[in-house]
Amino acid sequence: MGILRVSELKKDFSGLEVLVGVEFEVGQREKLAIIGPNGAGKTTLFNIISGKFPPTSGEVIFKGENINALPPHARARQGMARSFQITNLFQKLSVLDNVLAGVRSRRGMRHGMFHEPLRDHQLVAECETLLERVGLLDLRDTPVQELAYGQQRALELGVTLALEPELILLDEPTAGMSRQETEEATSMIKRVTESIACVIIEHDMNVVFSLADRIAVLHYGVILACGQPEEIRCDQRVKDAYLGEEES
Amino acid sequence: MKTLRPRTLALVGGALLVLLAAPKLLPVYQLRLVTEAIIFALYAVSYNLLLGYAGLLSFGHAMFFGVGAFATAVALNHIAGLSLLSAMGLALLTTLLVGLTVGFLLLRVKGTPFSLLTLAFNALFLAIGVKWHTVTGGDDGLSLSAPKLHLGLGVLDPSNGPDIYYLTLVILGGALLFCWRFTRTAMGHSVLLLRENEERMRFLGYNTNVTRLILFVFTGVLAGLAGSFYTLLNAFVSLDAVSIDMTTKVLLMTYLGGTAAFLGPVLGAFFYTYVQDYLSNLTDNWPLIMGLIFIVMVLFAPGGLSGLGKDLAARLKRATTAD
Repeated sequence: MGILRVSELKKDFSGLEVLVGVEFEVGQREKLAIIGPNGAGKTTLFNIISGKFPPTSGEVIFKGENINALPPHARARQGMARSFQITNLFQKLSVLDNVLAGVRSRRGMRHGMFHEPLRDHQLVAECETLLERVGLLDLRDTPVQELAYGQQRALELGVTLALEPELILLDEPTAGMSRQETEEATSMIKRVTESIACVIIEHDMNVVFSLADRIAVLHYGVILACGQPEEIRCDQRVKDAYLGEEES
Repeated sequence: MKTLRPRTLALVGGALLVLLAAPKLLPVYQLRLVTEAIIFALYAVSYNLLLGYAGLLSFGHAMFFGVGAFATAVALNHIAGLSLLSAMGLALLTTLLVGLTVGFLLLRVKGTPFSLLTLAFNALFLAIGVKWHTVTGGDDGLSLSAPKLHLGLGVLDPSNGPDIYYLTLVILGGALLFCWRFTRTAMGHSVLLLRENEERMRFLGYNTNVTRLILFVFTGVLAGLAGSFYTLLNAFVSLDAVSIDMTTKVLLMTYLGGTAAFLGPVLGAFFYTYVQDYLSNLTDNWPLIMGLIFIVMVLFAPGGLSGLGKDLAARLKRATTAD
């Protein structure tokens, strides 16, 4: 059975139907890419899955349970983590503090009034290991606002990984990057998410084809097609609706 | 791992000696001022945990200060044979309950609505103070004679200047140390996350309502403790303790001292207490001058006194390294 299943998901924003019956499933360790033109409802879909707002109707099933009623923090504690399209970090805090926020949360050290996290060597070592994985260890004491854009994106991933999630939702992880940055980011994502299920929203087809096990095409609120990368590449409807547009 | 440098150690040791010897060195009136400044230092530090650390602008901190102050007086006046520490304990419990209730009601509001609602709650508590004459004494206030505190080694009498000074120094000094340590704890870190990005916090598994409530209650109880000592120091409590003035006062102290450093509000509290004392001897219009000082500080030194201190230290360092 899959880790995430979305069924009959609908979302209206005061009469505007953004999602009209979205259905898909993500298997254990599977990488599913969701592609589609701007305004297709991709980010709305992420917001519903991660609990930012509820669907108008339909169900989000995570690890076999309906989680429609759970607030975002409860979903995060159950093993679902998300990154954001626009970098969404703790800007004035150091790189280490940002990752620490995630690690503390996972370990249930959120509100302790007696425990000093920076004196806990094990905790700090764990954060450093994580920073090493995303290539930011040298910058551990730098405030986030002083990082280059690509480094902030890497930290975004690092903070998300700090939760050791079973499912990651990545919202345009390479948005705004140069070609070279994109290539590096893609190989890093591939490396660090090896054993984790992922749903990835992405515009860059090179990234999609190198990361995804399966691709779902979202078009005006419905999944137009879903299948292996090769099938999607050859699907005439997808070409008409999306892939073709980029080349013209 | 940070270790204390000898210079820091010497500084801390020297300061501690001066504080311990103060009753021998200072005349009665001056000692009273220091005691008051320590009380306001805790009040301002607790306020800055909300303002500087969590980014929550409250206009209602005097409700906690006032509840702590009145609860102490009411408890001592109405419960025969109540010990000093039990009275303080009751005062803290009362502020805790007030903090939980008000904090719970304020959980859903943020930004300007939060600020305005805290002001509204402060006004409500002031109104209760005015109207509930039988308990609070209304405009007349309440006077009290605090019981002596029997310790193993001797007896402390709160109506005696040096005694209340030492009591304040030990208990409120301890509370200040606890606050300083608080900023490095897990909860202290979470408070910073709250200021920086509450949304991301939630997606990382934090129930930010819990974070906000704990912080609100914690800072409220500290302000209540300060209020309790304010009552003991004056052997009297009036509506002044729960007034909007008292809220403005903590805001001024905190901004004057600087919100970015832990010690900023402590500096601010001492500065405000002494400047007020000096100015009010010169003129009844001292709030006017205090207001001007505030405006000048905000315009030209938004970092407050602690900000100025940091600038100065940085310049000195540059000057010495240049030589």
